[in-house]
Amino acid sequence: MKLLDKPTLVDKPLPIPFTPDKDGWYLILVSARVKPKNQLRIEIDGKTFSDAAAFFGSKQKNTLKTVYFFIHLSAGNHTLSLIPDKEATVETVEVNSIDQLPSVHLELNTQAERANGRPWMTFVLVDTPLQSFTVKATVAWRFPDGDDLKIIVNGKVKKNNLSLLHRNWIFASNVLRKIIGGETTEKIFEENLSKDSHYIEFWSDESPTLHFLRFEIEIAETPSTIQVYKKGPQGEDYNRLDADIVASVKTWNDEFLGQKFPPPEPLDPNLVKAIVYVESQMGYGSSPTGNPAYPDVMQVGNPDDPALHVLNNDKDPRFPAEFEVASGKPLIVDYKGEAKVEKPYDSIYWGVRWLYHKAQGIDTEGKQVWYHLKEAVSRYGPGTKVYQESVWNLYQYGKEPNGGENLF
Amino acid sequence: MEKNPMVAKIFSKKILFGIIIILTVINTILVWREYSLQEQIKQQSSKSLDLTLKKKLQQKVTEALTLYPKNGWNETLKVLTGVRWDCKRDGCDFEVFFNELLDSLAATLSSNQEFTLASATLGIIYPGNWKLADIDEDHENEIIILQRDALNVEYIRLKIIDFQSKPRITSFTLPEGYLSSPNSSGLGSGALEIRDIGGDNSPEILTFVSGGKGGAHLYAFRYKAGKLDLILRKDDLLYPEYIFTGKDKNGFSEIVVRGHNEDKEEVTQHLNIF
Repeated sequence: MKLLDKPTLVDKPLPIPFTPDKDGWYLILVSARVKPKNQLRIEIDGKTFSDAAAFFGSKQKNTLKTVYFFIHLSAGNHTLSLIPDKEATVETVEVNSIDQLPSVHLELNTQAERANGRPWMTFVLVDTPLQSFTVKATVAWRFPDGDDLKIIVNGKVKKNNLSLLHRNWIFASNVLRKIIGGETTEKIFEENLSKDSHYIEFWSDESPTLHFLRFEIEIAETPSTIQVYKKGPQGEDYNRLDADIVASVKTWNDEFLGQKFPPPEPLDPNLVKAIVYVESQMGYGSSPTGNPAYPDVMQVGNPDDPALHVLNNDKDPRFPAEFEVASGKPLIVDYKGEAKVEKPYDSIYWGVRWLYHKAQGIDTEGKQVWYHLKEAVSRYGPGTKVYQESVWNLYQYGKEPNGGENLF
Repeated sequence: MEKNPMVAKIFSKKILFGIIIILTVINTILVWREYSLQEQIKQQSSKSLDLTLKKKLQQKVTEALTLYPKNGWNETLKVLTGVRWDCKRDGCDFEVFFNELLDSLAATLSSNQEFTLASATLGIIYPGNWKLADIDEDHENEIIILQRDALNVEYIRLKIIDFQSKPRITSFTLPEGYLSSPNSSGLGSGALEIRDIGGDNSPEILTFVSGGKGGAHLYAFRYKAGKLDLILRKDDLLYPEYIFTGKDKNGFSEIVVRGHNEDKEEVTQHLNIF
């Protein structure tokens, strides 16, 4: 729906009413040119936005910039306000409904006007989470200066670590790509940002082409409340690892819930707490092997068990490599020696990772499958019903596995 | 001496040209570096399962088995050897790719020798996961295999290949993921043993397998005339060691099991199989 019939010179605040006919997600687009020393800001229903969503003539130098707002609107009356400082030429204002969620694909096929290093587009995700986004762009090399594209997310520049001369330009042209091909590339950016307003800026140098932009916006939240256990018979503090448990679970939840095929529900830190209790009584218990209950509170580091060997793919002949689906294909799990236990946080961190490994499988077509968490608990432990029930009953009812007083 | 303006002009052009050449060379070097780094990253991160390759190689094996009656063993083995080389070259996982073909090999081939050579060529059997023994006392060897679920590590299948029996293949699924050993270390004599634990001079099949944590669980079987019976399951101790001490004072074969109970206390138990 176009809200402006033609390019308009705006030299005073201009409210533009519009009326979506249904509740839902909308993409509002504003394109404008602003001369040096002039500015233009946008408000939607009185809501203001950061500078990334504004138009500054000092940076744009009268080139065309477009700001896209991805926003949830209710049916009914709304107002988009154009607020200039001096004047601005607004070329387009549009509102379009977006139906495809949680993956929002914007086919743009737009080439920037030829200019040196200036803001070209900004995408504002209003009050949404951001799991990841994918960009396909063409940056052509030409003598003496080729195209480049910079991406800034919430004020942080995406660094091009493979280039010395174009560190801040994540898409950078060069003569070799021109010769062997590869001027058009697609990159995925994993962000895992929780619900808030997020700004993705695109700056252009010369005239790159942006083919499409795709957002994945859904992330489930990690439960933040953790069950408090009673003190042990000798005054043991069974809640001393709560912060480590919540932090580790949140880290791995964010990783797996942010995948293309996430688990059906986030891992509950209370389940992990129950596992830690059964494995080591929060580090107060004894261990049947030389692997001590503290700091290996989740008992993931026993050298005769597969966990760390498999996570590190250390080629121990007893434990062949194992697989998980990542980036759409079965890959060998390999943290290349990172997985080790030196303190309780490490044990919980890698224990949760191992639990997540045991919570998933691969079908014959190579697709990821998720098991029920109770099954994952069994696979985490020795695979016996006794172990599974010990953890589950503690998790659900506070039932102390060794017959002691209820822990809730 | 007066500067010749023409010389100055040419000289400055040469300098400019030189600078351009140098920058181009630097840019090219940097681009090659970028390109080769990207290739390295691609290679390092691409330890993936190529399931298209799996289908292709399985197809080759299946076709060879279909033609086996006509082509004979030697030709079939050549094909299997070629498949092995393809797999090795392309970095595939033998167990993931070929474990599913074990039953087809057993059903098609004609003898223990052919079967074991074919299975070894395809990486389905390897030291520690199989044995050759006469477990049903019919004066012929059977092949006993512990086959892992290599893709998901969810189960282990005990398979008996008996070329004298119908059905030729008998199978039992163990709810465990890992091969272990009598002392739970995964090292040493391996996950599969054939020994008489019933004291009747007839062999039983002993498997030492693990769910991942907690050490080896023992499953013992008897096999007779195509039938596999589970006669013992021991999985209640943590990190146990199994000791086969021969006959006890009553003349019965005894297994001593030393491990830890749920309370993490060390215990010793004596098991008898009758």
